[in-house]
Amino acid sequence: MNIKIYSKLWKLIPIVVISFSSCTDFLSVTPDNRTEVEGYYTTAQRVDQAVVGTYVDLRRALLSNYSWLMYGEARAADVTVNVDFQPYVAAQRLKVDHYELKQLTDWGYFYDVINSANEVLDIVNTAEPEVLSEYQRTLYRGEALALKSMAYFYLTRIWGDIPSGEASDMGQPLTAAAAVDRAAAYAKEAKDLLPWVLLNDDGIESAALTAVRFNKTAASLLLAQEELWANKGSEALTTLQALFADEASLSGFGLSLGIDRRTEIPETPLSGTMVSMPLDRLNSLYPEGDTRRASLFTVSASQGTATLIVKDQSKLDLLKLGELNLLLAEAYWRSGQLEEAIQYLVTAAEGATEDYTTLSDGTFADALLLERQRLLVGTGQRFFDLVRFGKVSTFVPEFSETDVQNGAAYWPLSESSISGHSLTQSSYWANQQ
Amino acid sequence: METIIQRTCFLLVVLLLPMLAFAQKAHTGKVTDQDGEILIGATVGVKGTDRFTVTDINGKYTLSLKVGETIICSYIGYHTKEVAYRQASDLAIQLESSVEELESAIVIGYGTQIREEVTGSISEIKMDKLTETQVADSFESLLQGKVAGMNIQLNSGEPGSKPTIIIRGLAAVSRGDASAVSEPLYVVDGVPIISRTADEFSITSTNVLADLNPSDIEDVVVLKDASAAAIYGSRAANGVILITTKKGRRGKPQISFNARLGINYVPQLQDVAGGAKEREQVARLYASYAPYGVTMPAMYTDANNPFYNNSSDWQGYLYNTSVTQDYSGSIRGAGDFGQYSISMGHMDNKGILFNTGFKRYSTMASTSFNALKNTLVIDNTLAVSRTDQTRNPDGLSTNYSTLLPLPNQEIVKGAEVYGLGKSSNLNDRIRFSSNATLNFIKNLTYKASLSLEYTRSMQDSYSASRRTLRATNSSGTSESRNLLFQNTLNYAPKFGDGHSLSFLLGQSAEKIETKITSVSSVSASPTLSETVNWPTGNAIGSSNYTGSSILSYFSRLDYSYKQKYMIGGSLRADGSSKFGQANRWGIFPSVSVGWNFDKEGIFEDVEWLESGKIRASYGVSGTTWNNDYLALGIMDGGSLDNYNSNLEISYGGISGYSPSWYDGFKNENLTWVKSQMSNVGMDVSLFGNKVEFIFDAYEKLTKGLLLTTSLPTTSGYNEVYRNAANVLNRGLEFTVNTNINAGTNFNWNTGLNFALNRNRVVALPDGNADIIKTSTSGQDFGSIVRTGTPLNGFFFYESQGIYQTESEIPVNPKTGASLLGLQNKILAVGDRNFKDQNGDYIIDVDDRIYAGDPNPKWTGGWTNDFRYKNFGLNIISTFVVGRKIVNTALLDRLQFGKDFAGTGSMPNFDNYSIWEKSGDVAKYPTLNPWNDASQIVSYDSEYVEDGSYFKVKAATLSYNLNSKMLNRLGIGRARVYCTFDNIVTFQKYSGPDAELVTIDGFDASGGYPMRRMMLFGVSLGL
Repeated sequence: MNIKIYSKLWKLIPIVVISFSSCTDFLSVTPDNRTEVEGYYTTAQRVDQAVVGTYVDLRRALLSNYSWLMYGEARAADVTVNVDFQPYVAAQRLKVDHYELKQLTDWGYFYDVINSANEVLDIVNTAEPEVLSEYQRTLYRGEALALKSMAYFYLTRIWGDIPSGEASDMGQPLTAAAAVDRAAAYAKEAKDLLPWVLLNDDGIESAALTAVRFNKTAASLLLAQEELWANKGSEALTTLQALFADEASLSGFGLSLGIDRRTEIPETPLSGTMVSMPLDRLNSLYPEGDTRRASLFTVSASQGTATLIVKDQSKLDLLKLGELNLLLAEAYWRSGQLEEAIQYLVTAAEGATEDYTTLSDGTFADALLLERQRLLVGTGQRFFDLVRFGKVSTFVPEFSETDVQNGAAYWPLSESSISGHSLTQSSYWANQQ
Repeated sequence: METIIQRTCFLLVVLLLPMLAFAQKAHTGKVTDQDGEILIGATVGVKGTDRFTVTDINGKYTLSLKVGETIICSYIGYHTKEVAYRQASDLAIQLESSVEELESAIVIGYGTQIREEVTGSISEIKMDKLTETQVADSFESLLQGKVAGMNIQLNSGEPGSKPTIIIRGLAAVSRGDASAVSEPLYVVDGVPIISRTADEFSITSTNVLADLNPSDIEDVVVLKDASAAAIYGSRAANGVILITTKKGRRGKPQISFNARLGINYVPQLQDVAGGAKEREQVARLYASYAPYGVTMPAMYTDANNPFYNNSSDWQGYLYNTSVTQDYSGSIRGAGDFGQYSISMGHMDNKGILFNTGFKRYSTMASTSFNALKNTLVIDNTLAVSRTDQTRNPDGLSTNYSTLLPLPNQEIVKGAEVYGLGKSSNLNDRIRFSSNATLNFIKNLTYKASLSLEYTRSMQDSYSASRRTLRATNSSGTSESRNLLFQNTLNYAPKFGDGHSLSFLLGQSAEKIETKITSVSSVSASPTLSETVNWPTGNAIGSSNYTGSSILSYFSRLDYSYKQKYMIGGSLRADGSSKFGQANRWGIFPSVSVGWNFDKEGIFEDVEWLESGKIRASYGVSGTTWNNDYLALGIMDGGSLDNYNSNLEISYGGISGYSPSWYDGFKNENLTWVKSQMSNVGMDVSLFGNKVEFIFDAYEKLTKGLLLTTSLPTTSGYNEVYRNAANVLNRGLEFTVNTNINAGTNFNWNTGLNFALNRNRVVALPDGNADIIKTSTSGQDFGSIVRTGTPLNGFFFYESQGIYQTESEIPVNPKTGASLLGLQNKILAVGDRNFKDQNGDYIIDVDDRIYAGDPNPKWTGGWTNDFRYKNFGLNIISTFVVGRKIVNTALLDRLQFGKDFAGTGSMPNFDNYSIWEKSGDVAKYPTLNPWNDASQIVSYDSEYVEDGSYFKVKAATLSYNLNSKMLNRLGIGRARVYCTFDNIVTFQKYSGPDAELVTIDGFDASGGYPMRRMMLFGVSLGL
């Protein structure tokens, strides 16, 4: 009898041992209440969330601390933003030990956009066929590329030489020219992929959605800006002329605002008297008789300021359709067709007191710069225009031409931005306190 | 050890002999030991019959016997003896002690080993002696000063708080949490138990191990080096503590009862300037520093104010003598059927601070059954316990201004003057384990063991505001389950001429899950209900779950030749769900050798050398971390970035999702923290075991401690966890034990141990950059982790005294500007003169230096045990030498802000050297409360003090009742004792107790002082 029991036990032991130890699954613990990255993007809605997340990153990059203005008009002292660090920015004291200023010298948020866009591209490329329709696949790819292009374009305009955020050459330095080329290549691809008008969840064309997401027009405008930055006038012209195609349905692009959980981005960044212009500056910029000043600014004579009018507080315009004529004018001018250029400038500058019909090749640039300053106020492009037209030392009294050559026109870099690659602080900012 | 007891002792008769039909006659005999001492209570029986008896107080017994029958006699601690009865004169029985044999076996990982053959660094503590006459919340504090190289520090005197145990040096690094500790693994009766809960999942702060009743513990074995601990693989790098609980022994049932009552006395408290002195000090600060137009609060100036003449002793009111009670009882026994052990315990430790205390209820039942002619042994253990820690909900303040009236004064009678509410912290634990051990053939044993452990912590806290009558309720539960299945196969043959082999092969699978749920609410009508309900929407609830599993295979081979030469090795492979697929398994090997040189021919004639052994070992063991999902890449919708800004998750009416990680960027390469440890040691026993000397030297390199490292911003992420930091610990350990007998009446035992440990950071990530410890909220801990220096060094400003004249304040020759103090303070005479290390004429973080090492260099303990006749005196002391600490508790009280008057008590300025006028040689700078920058800076090298101490921890006077009295009372054994606990501490430190500091050397400010206790007890055995 004992032998029987033994033999039973003998059989039992290996079974028990094997049943407990041979389960390879034993070491794979799947958290019940958390989401792992693998297997999350299994529906179109979730992929859409990731795309939207990239816009959110861009919004954070451009809106926190009014950075789109700080990098643009506020730095050029055109407008005043009612925050305590604005005077430092206007005085070009960008390395002052101030929390928000330090944050402005950190390019991390722009790289978040690039990283998120690359994530989206990965997700779209690896998504199962049944997850995304062909429309969604092309749209999301196009949006990701356009967002990435915009982030690179901002980065190089703000800091000049920048490191790559692509997996293939992560952290490798890109010259300013190479960065713009890269941005243009992404925008070009995006332009071809994006539709004129986006469809909403019900499959109906939605103008509201199109206005806050990248579309073919917006990608084209972005591409034209980049090509003009690289002084490729004729290519820009080709890009812009494509917008006159028969099937074209034009729409600009702006960042959707709305409720934001973060404290540093107010619910409506352009509300109240946040963004204003001193009255004397307004008067010199838009002389009496310029019909546009009433539509752009509310003048308060008693306080001596003019407040920027925001027509749509739910949206911050980044690529305005109104810029199209200015871009065309510049593209014609840069490709040597002054007559057409003047024609488009005159159209764009309707309401101006100046007579632009008599412009020469030599005076065109100043006129164009002035009209861009007037028309694009509030979109954050002014300082970039000064850089592009080589006028920084002319308009910014703090900088000499040598300073500009030493990198003064670009922003200094925060410590965390400098670490992890071979780029260094420009000699101008390295010598500033 | 149990098996040895079982084999050596036989109580009941199992075999029948042919009966002879002779008449029986009562015979009387006597049982003695080898020295002729009588043995009381020895069992004497006739083999093959149910006739047996027990010897009386004279060692005599009476039995009916027939010639030819076999008398069988057994007694605990002695070899069982069988005597054939031939004639009446033959009835004296002499038993031989088996104590040597009992003591020769020691518990090691997954088995036992003969002491002489041990090649690792192992210390054993018999708990009986400690637990019988001392009372403690947890067994850990009783081990203080007992093991060389095991430093146990009580960081707080609060009942139920957790001591810090560090074996062979700290090996934990963190950026934020300043108190990262390298904790050992706790194994109870072969089962690793839940000894702590991850911070995210812990809800009570009670010591998790306090639910083990120390009286249930038979012995504690500390595995210190890698060769001993590596068999526990991935969790053994910080040492392993093996706990063996008490079991029944053969003989008559052992019934014991121990009752004690302790009186807790309030120790020295913070010094307070009372009444008139406080008024005078406030007036002094106002007179010297108050800006124009600022006048003293009326409370201090208006002599008609009813509070004016108060001198309330808040500490005296809130700290009071309290009582500790502890009862434990047990019934244990054993026989051929197996063994049984049932015990119960209750402790009620009232804290000296108002409304605090700790209670423990514990019960444990353990049984073993022998079956199939002892080839199958089944053990079952069930332990159930509850601890209940009472605390004050919002940290009761004991330092109100002495002018405020005490709550018992007539003028405020009925009003609650201090925080209302309560906080209950319950910890429950149920531990069930079941083993089946099968002896197939000789020397081959198979053991399967299943263990289930369940812990639950519950916190219910309720605090009300006197002003608004609003109350906060919170309630939380955290539950952990640990399921463990172990299989081991042991083959231990002896062959040839003195060859012995022991081979172990094992497997274990363990799954640990934890769940937490907590809710809180704020209610406007607190008196109506203390339950959490959500009437106002002002409520927050949360829940969380975590789980991990470990799968292990392990093996050990030990070989010994004539117990002279030993060699051993172990290998463990651990797989853990915490790591990525690629790095899921860790291999932990160890090797060791030993040589009992006393057995060599040349030492044969050396009379004084009892035994001598040299041993050496090397091994690798590991540790992991608490966060189960670090390598998995858990996604999170709204994490914080380095500018503390949340990601916005909605855009244009659509919810967005920017991929981010819950706990840093995912890293599939995360793997074990590995410790490489080498150890050489020597054990020598001299003069007939009267003097024992143990020496160990070790080096422990802990590699791959987990730290976050920053990622380049171009990656789009901020940080990632990596196995990044390395820490080296080196040390020496000495133990000397003596046992001196002067005649039969006097006996003196001493145990002295001391250990030197030096600790050094070897490598850090990010190009070995210093880690200046700061919390996530930016709070600076004043500690630094820097390569080449000990862990958690003080990172302070270097003091050069106090500015006595204006001309001493440096002026920048280039700009003409004076040196700018901390927080942009305009420096003046009387301010602290900090050294401007980098010469930029601004004192800021860059001017801090490494100002001292808070890690103890020498630690140890000294125990003296005197016995004279029936009296015993036992004195336990512990010491720490060569550590730096800072009295932050005092500094906090000297940091006065603008609103200092009336808000709190003040230290008596006369006791401190505070600068008042030029020429004063003072320790503390001028105390100007109106300056925007604090005058007293905690991170000031001036305040680094020597933290060495020598503490007489406990002294016990005991008396064993003599057998005459016992006999009259009908009791087998009785002892009465009186223990003084926390008697005296010799220290240079300016604070109350140099032991009650955090591991990084700061006085746990406003901490709970350690009570002194006088304990009276009686311990009975039936």
